[in-house]
Amino acid sequence: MKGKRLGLRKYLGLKIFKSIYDGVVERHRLRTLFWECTLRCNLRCRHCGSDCRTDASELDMPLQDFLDVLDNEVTPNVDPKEVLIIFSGGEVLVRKDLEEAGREVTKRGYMWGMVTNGLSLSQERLHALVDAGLRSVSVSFDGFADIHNDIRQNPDSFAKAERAIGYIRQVEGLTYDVITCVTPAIIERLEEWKEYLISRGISHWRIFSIFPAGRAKRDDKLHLNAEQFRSLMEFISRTRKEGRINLNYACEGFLGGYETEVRDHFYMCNAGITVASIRVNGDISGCTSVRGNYAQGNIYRDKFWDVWQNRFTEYRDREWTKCDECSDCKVWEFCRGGGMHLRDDKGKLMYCHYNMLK
Amino acid sequence: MKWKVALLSLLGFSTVACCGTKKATKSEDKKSQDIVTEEEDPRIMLMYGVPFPDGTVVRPIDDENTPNKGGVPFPDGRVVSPLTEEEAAKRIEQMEKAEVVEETSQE
Repeated sequence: MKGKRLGLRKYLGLKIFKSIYDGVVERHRLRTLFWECTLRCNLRCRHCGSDCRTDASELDMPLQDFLDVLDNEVTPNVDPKEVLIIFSGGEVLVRKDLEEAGREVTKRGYMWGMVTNGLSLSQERLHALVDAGLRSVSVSFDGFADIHNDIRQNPDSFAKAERAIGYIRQVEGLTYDVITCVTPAIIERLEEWKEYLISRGISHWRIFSIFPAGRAKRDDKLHLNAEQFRSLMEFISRTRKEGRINLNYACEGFLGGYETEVRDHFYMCNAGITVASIRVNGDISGCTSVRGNYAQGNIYRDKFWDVWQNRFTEYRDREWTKCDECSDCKVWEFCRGGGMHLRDDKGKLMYCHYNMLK
Repeated sequence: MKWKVALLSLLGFSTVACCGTKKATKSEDKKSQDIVTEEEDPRIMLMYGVPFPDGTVVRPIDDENTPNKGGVPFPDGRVVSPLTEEEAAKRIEQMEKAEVVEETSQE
C-alpha cells in the first residue's frame, strides 16, 4: 500500500490555511490551559509518555499555587469563558481535592475538563465532579480487554474503564470522548473495535499512535510500522465517511494526502500558540505532551502572563526546526517541523508522520 | 481573513478549524437569543486534551450558591446533572423501544 499524494486541491487549501495560521500564531491567544496537577498514577501503562508512577518523586502541586496563577496572571488578561482548563496527570482522580479544584475554577468562570483512565471513577465521584462544574472528559480505552489490560498492566483496567464510560454517558450534557492508543495489537481488529464502541453507544472517538517518548520509547512492540500506519489512516478516513461514529486522529503530525480526511482540521501544532501548560513542578510549557526541555519559565520564579506574552519564541517561530531531515522537506511550510512533542531535548525530530506515509 | 475562509469553502474544505463560528448568546434582557458571529482561532483536538464542551458557557458561581445539589447552571437556566439510576434505566428502555419501532417499520 502506498501513501496518498497531496493533490492540487489540498495543496491550495494548505497554502490558504498557512496564511490563516500565521495570524493565529501572531495573536497567540490563550485558549487551552493544562494543569498537570499530579504525576501520581494508579496504573503503570506500557505506553505512558509521562513515565508516571504510583510513587511519583514529584509532589502534587498545591491547588492554591495554581489558583494564584489564575487569579493574578491569567484571569485579568483573558475572557475566562474562552479558555478551557484541562486537569491532567498522572491520573487526576488520585487527587482528593479535584472537586474543590473544579469548583474554584468554575467559580472563576472557566470551563474545565479532565483526562482519566477511569480506573477509580465511581458514579458518586463523577456526580461530585459534575456538581463541581466538570464539562468534558476523555477516557483512555485502548482496545478489547486483553489488549487494554496488557498495555495498562492491570487485569481490571478494561472493565473499570468501560464502567466509567457507562457512567459518563448517563450524565446529560457532559461532553466526552474515548481515546484509543493504536498499537500493533489492535490494528488488525480496529473494525471489530469500532463496532464494539458503536454498540456501546459511544459517539466520539479519538485515536493516537505511539511516539517514542517516556516509557513507550523503550517498548518497540508498541510502535506501528509504515504499512500499519498507512492502514490506520485508511481506516480513519473510511470510518469518517461512514458517519456512524465521530472519529478523529489526534493533532500529532502532518499527514500529507490524508490531511482533512482523518481530522476535522488541517494539521497544526498549537503548543505555545493557543495552548499552555503548568507542569507539576511549576514549569510553564506548551502542551503536556511536550516532554522535551522546552519549558519557558516557572510559576515560582516568573510571571505566567509575562512568559506567555514574551517568551515561547521556540514555539512561535519554528524556523529552527528546519534542520536534518526537515531541511529540504517540500512540505515544511505546512508542517513546520511537526509537533513540538516530537522534538527531543536537542531539537532533533524523533518521529515524522509524513515520512511514514510516503 | 474572510475571503481566505471563503476560498477554503470553495475548495470544499470544512472551515470548522479556521474561521468565525456562530454562537448563541443571551441578549441583555435575557429573554431572546442572538446569534452572533465571532472570529475565533481554531480549536483542535489535542492529543492529551479533552473535547471542547458543546455550546455551553459556564456562569461564574458565587460562594454562597455553589451548585452542589442541582449541578452547574447554564446561562439559559438549564442544569447539567447526573441522571439517577432510575432515570437512566427509563431512558435506556425508551431508546430500546424506539429502536424496535424503527426496525419494525423498516421491515
